[in-house]
Amino acid sequence: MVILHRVRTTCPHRTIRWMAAAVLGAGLACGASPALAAAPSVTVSADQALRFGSFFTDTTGTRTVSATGSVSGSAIVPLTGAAPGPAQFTFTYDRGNNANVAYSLLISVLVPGTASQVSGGVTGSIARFDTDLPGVSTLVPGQSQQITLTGCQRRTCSRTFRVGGTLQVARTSGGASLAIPVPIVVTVLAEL
Amino acid sequence: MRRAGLILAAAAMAATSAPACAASGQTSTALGQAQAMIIAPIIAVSLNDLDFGSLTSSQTASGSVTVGPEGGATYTGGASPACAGGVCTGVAPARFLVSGEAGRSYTVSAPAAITASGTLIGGGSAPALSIDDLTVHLQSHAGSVTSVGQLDDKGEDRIGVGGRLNVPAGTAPAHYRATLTIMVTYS
Repeated sequence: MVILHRVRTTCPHRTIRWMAAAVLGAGLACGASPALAAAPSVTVSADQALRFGSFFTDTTGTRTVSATGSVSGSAIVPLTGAAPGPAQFTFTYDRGNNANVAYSLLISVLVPGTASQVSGGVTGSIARFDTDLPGVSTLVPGQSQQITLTGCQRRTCSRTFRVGGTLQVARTSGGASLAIPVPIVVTVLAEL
Repeated sequence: MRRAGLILAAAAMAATSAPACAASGQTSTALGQAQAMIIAPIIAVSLNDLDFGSLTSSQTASGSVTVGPEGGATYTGGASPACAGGVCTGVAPARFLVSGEAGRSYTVSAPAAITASGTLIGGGSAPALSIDDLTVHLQSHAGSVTSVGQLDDKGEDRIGVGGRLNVPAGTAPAHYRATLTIMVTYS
């Protein structure tokens, strides 16, 4: 408003130039110009499943696959099969404009509900997850964690992160192929 | 100067107003998955015993009877079948049914030799007899003797175990019994 007030006192030629500067400034700041910017958006993709591999347990046992890929177990016998490994997700934020300004993102990560499955005489559940996201070593289903992602510079800011977990198995009979849904909800709380 | 100042003002607005326009509340969900294969336990159940049948022994010559893992018996030395026509229908290898995860391989281990303890027909204990050359045959490896098998589409396999009973000369009439233990594990 100050700019527009001032341009009224100038010649028409100057007015056009001032207005151009003002519009450009607004576009860089807020993405208000459709020609230069779009609404910010966020996407998360599941790149790879969390793989606990094949194992035998008599009645109950646990197997842990960490976000870094280390594997351990209790009361189980590992068997040959697909190699265990952490899940992998990719978070991508599109700020909606091409401003070359460094920024950080405050995001929350949530695994909603419980991660469990019953298949015949086998019950599998994951009580907690761990990640290699900075500052978030543990993810408990139903409890969100906040993370600040730094170092964003361009229009899109992307992070690939891994998720491990501990699978608890209770077996009364037979075996099972478990495929437990693990939804990951990422919310951008603020662009800093 | 005024114009330059105004341009700077506009640029400054652009550079500093990003936080006010940040996209808070933008949410995305990815449906990942956790996978695991829980394997059913592998078990071996005895279907029938390793049976050397009834035989006679010589007072002067030692002998043996060998039961093959797929059946059939051969007698040597002073040992001979004590059955009508020389055919003892009860003679059979030990048979086990293995059950577990379909298609998965397993390893069977069995002792190389065991000892049978005897009870004299008239009462009292008889000298022990040795059973050696225990041989394992897996149905999943027909025609070959190996310690590694593979469960079929039903998650089953069958194991036969044969062996040789050594009968010293002058062995007194007695009933003999031994325990044969095998172990199966996924490999």
